[in-house]
Amino acid sequence: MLGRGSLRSFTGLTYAWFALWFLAPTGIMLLYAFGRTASVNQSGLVKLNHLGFGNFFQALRYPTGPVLVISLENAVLATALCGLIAYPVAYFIARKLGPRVRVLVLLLVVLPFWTDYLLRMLGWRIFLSPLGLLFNAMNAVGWHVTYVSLLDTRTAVMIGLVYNYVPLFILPLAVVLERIDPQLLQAADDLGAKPWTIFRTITFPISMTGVVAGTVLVFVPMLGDYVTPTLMGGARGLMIGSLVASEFNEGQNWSLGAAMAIVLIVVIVLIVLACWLLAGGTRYLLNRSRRRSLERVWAPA
Amino acid sequence: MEHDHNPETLRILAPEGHPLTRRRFISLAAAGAGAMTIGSTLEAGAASLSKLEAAARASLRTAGKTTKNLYLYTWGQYDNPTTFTAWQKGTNIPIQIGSYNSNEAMIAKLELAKGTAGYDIVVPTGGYIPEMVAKGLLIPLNKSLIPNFAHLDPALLNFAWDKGNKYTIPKDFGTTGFIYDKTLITRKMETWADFVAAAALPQVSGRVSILDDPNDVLAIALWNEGVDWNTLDKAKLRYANNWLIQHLAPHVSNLDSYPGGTGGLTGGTYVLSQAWNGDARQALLKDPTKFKWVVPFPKSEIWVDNWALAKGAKNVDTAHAFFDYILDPTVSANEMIYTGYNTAVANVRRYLPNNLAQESVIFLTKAQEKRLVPYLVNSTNNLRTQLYDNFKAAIAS
Repeated sequence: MLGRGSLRSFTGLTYAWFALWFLAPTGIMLLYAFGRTASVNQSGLVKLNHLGFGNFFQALRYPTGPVLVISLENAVLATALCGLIAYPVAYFIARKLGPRVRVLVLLLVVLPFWTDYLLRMLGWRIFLSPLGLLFNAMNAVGWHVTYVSLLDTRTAVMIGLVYNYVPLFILPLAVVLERIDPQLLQAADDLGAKPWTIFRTITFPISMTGVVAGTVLVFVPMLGDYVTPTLMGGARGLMIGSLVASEFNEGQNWSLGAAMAIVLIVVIVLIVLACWLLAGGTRYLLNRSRRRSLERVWAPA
Repeated sequence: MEHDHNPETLRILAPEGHPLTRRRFISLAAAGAGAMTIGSTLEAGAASLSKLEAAARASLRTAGKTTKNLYLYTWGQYDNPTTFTAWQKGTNIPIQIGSYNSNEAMIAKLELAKGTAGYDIVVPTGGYIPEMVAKGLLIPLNKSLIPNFAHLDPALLNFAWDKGNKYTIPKDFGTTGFIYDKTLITRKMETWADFVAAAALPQVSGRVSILDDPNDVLAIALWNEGVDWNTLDKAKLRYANNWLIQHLAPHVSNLDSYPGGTGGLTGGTYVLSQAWNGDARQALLKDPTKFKWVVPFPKSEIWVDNWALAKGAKNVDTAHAFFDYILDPTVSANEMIYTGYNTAVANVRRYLPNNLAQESVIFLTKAQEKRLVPYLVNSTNNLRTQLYDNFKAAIAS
């Protein structure tokens, strides 16, 4: 049994872990973003003797804006698609399967993670290439199509993003849906609510926490993803992560790269914050109108 | 990313998180598609293991006080595994290998470690050497410990990046050109202008890849306009980039440094690709009747990858022994068979077991060599990266 003290030290350990591997690197990056990259014949990576905002101005210049917009469009659309796919799947897993089968199916959902991500992406490239499995199979069954370039397009990026992130949406949703008290649904049914009404007024509102968790879990890493767009979308699937990477790599410009990464972090935080406020506001308004209608029902005439 | 070297594990040490290794890529993708592109690789190594071991022993005799360790930091899959096996058997000195996939990553790691990275040997590309010397990341060689240095082709010494080869020994070299599907492109294909014109053909547009490298991409326009690609003239760089955005960007589908090795060409995703010769050869080996390789006019690149001693190296004499070993013509030939790139050892061709397939892609003619220009990283690096980002954004939008 864990004593209170050991539990506390364990919690302390997780905070230390978080500080060491998340806060410290982020802090260093923030510092670098204000520094100046050493020139090619100077030693050191980033000079910190003259701190300033110069990198941030550079980080915001063309083409950051348009590429950020493209990335946002991709991430929003892919998140929505993930949600649309994940919801029925999670619902089915949580509500229609017995406990044993459920564990097995959840295992299947995470099974792809056992294979290296890059290999899976390369597998998609082989599958979708003009002389690859998909088009060969279509030809073999007599469905002759002239090759339409699927690879290296935004469609391919979308396939890659949805494929990669949909399990992360399914898992939190399945957990939330599974935990809904069956007695609630039973009660609604007993009172004569139709299945659709039960879903609309009970299941879905309760599952909103799962939807929000899934959305954040999927949207945030998607926006910064650079491997999926690079491997699936090639040059035409460019997203913002690729610009950040090119400053660290080809540019050898760590301070500018850091500034771009910080800009990206700020954008993500603002978006999540806006969504959170929006969700909170809607819930407040919804509750108020519901209370009103309840008051109308119960108020003595 | 260090790995104890032993022959069984060596094959997997390279792609640690990186699908793209440097000049050559035993493509998992291609292998998966049933395309084993490197036909000659496997039988080649077995040819002369005892000879390699003898060369390794010989190199120990000339070196100074060797130690019992050697740490190598290099591109993934960039040496014949048998080269290491034989060294280890011949000298009893284990080699441990870490791998990187870009010069920039290697430089950043050495820079951050300040001489404590623990590596003895690194393999920078020519253009990055002045920067590494200026940053104090390399230490000078002692050539008296490397008798086999004499085997090197003088034409591949004394490049502007290391006059007198104080710091570096050429490992291998190659060029940048383009490869195309000649069943789809029947027009004249000799110059970089032809490359850009062909990219606009309706059957080609959208199936074009170029190297994922700001300088190689800019070079297409610079060479075409007769401008030295080392130019420091910012206006010329901007003009070249705008020209590319207008004429090439609408047709490019990918920035891929390995269109041959990763199966983009053989899988039909690309029908026209800017490529390094060794990588293009991978596609030619698979389908010699479909593809054609061109070293374009008026100019193109010569790149050289080099052996060098990292600052903070603890096994300096052992590293010198290794350099001597690797410059032995037998060892050099063994390397060439595997990488598909010409080494800088003169007459290495005589030591090859047989004629290699698609030899003309490996061995450049004198006429081709005349039009090749090396590139040195310079003060326009930041601008070039920025222009490259603009070019990428133009393709995507």
